[in-house]
Amino acid sequence: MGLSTVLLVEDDPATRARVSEAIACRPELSLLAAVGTCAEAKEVLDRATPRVLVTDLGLPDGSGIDLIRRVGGVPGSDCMVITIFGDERNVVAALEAGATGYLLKDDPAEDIGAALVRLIDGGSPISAKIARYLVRRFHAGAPDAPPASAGPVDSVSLTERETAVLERIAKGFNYAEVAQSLGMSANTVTSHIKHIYRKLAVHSRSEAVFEAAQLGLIRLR
Amino acid sequence: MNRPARAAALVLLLLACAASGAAGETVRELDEVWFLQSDTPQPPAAEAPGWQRRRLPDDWNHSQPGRAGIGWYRTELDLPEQPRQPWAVDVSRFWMNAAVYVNGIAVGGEGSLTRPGASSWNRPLLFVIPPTLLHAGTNQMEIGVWAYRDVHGGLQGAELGLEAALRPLYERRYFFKVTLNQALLASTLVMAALVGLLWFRRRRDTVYAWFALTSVCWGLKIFTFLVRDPRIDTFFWAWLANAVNYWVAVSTGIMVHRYFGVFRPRLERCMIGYAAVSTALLPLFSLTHTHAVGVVLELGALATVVHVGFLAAWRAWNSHRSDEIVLAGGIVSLIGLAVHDCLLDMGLLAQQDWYLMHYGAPVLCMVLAWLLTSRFVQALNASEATAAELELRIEEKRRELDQSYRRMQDLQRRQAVAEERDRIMRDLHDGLGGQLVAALAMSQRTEQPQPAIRQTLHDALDDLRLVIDSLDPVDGDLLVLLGTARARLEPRLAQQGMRFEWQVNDLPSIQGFGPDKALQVLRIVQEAVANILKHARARTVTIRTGTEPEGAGRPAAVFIEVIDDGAGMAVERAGGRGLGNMRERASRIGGQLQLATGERGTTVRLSLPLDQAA
Repeated sequence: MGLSTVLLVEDDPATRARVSEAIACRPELSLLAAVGTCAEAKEVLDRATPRVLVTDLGLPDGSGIDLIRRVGGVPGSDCMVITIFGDERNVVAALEAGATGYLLKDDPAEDIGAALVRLIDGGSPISAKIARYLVRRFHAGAPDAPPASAGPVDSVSLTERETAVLERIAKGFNYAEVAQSLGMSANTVTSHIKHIYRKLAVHSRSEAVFEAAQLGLIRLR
Repeated sequence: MNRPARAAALVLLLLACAASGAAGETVRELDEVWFLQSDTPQPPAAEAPGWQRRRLPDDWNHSQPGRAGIGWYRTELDLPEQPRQPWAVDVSRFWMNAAVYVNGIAVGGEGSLTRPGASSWNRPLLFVIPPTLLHAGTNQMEIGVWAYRDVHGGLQGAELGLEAALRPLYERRYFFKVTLNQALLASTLVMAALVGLLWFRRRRDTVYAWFALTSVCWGLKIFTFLVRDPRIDTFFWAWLANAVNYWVAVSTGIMVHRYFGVFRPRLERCMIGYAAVSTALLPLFSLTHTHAVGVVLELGALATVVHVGFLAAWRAWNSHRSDEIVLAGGIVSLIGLAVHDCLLDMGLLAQQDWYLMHYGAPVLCMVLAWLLTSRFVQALNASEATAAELELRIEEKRRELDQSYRRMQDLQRRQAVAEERDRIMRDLHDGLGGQLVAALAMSQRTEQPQPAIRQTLHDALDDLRLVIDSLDPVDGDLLVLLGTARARLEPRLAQQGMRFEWQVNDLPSIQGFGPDKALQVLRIVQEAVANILKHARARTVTIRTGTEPEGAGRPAAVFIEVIDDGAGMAVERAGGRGLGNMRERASRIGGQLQLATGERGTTVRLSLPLDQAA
């Protein structure tokens, strides 16, 4: 297995330098490019697809969401969003576009590298709030969620196990405690989470399609 | 409004025509006749003594006062030959019963001359004389009449002639005196019933009740004109026929009072008293019109009617309202008719034989019914208009209310935004601001080691995250909030070789738990953990949650405990600044903070009542 390529898109030079450095420190990773704008990133993406896209959301010429949508759909690629606060709104938007992880801007350099490697190995970070959001989103409990049987949404519902993981995390338990209470390994927990993120992206896409079909914007065959 | 008045005028015109109906040449009007008071039911012989000349009309009150019983009028009819066509005699008016004989043979009669009780005086009568009864030369004809004592007696007039010539005149008279009266009686009673029914459903409008009563009285009055044979004792019949006059007058008076909205209870009680007393007094004296007491009693009725006539005229004069003018005109006309009938009764209008009041009264009743229904309809229309107006006003008010509600909502929203802005400002000032100032100061002092600045900046960022975490909606879900705090605190615990023991139980969500309260809870927990990090020398920090049932004087609550297994705190420190801060935060969000410390560690317990609105 070769080196995993990383494309870094971050407009703040200092942060870009710090994250670049963190990537360089990890022997498993190789920096494909570190750019500051959407346009530059798209140029790079035209030539090659990175193993991991690490992007800020607020870029001078656009939103990182567009980049995540482009890379997130490619099999074998992961997207990670850099946020300052890890707040629900930004992270969820990125997850729905297809991201499977997030970094905090002030995380220590070693943590950033570790998080990237963990992502490549199939693990994803999550917070109590995001877990709670996901439980609500996938289950009919969320008032704005369409009914589970009303379309393609049904094909991406959560399994019981996945729901159990999310519910425990929403109560503040960490991976180890969740793994123990459910009789699984900590790695299994994080891969469950990554799986859930993927479902969320599909869910959002199919929801969009479903809504568009409902509105008569597109025709489903 | 004018239609009833016009109708009334038309009826009077027709009456006038009928009264002046001209007789043909073949008709002979009787004027000079022979009269004999004989009290025999058969005509006395022409040769009998006592026949005297009388001129028609003959009213016994004048020609032979105080006489009653049977009287015979005789005339002779000279014919050149036996007629081929039937003759007839038209007895236009007589009192009370009559019988007609020609050449000794009865040709007809009304009522009986032997059995008193019939009352046919206001009914035109035509008796046909078959040609075979007549012969060339002189024919004898007798008309017998029977009368009460002191009541009218006599013969108004009679016409003799070919039946073909008399019959149209008779029929016209019959129509106006009988058929029309019957129709008027029926319509008066129907009106009385309808208006009475209206009153029955609207008891407040007593004018309807008085109208119905008046109409019934009038109906009774007309009835006395129509009945041929009352089949009750003559005395009672005469009593009823006269007493009804008082009640007609009084009830008309009170009705007019009601119509004009005049309330004079004492006067009205007097009127009713008058009618009652008169009704009771009448039979004690005499039932004649000419008797002094009877006349005086009648004057009361007249006074009542004149009173309401003046009242109506006065009102109409002042208001100029068309309905009041019509009513006043009607009442005054009726008084005129009443005076006419009185004079007729007294025999002062000898050439006349038409009682008029009972024609005018139903017409007045109809006019009144028309006015009352118009009034009713107007009230109905007005109430409908009012309802529509009301609806409009309600709609307007609703819109205003809507608008003010929206304004209020807008104001509330703005206020909420302002409060939230204030809160965030305060939080940033207290936490982040202070930390950044400290970091700046440190960076200016070159001897300050770099890691200290970095730590301060980290703390600042953490605090900022805390604020932002608190801004995310948590809907009173405390566990999510604690999970958020744990994610941030766990690395720092780990640095010192400590770990969290997570012993959370599901909590009900707290009503009215907003960002400000979330932030205070986060700060309390963070401070408690920070205290442990600084002082406790512990290995494990246990976070425990649960619910407290409603207890003595305490509402149901949830609790969060931060427990360490360290060395405990000295008592003086237990009341120190950090704890004071936490206590203050707890009380700010309606909670309570308890501290228990000992050799085996310290427990900080935050209780929050479930209903934050309380």
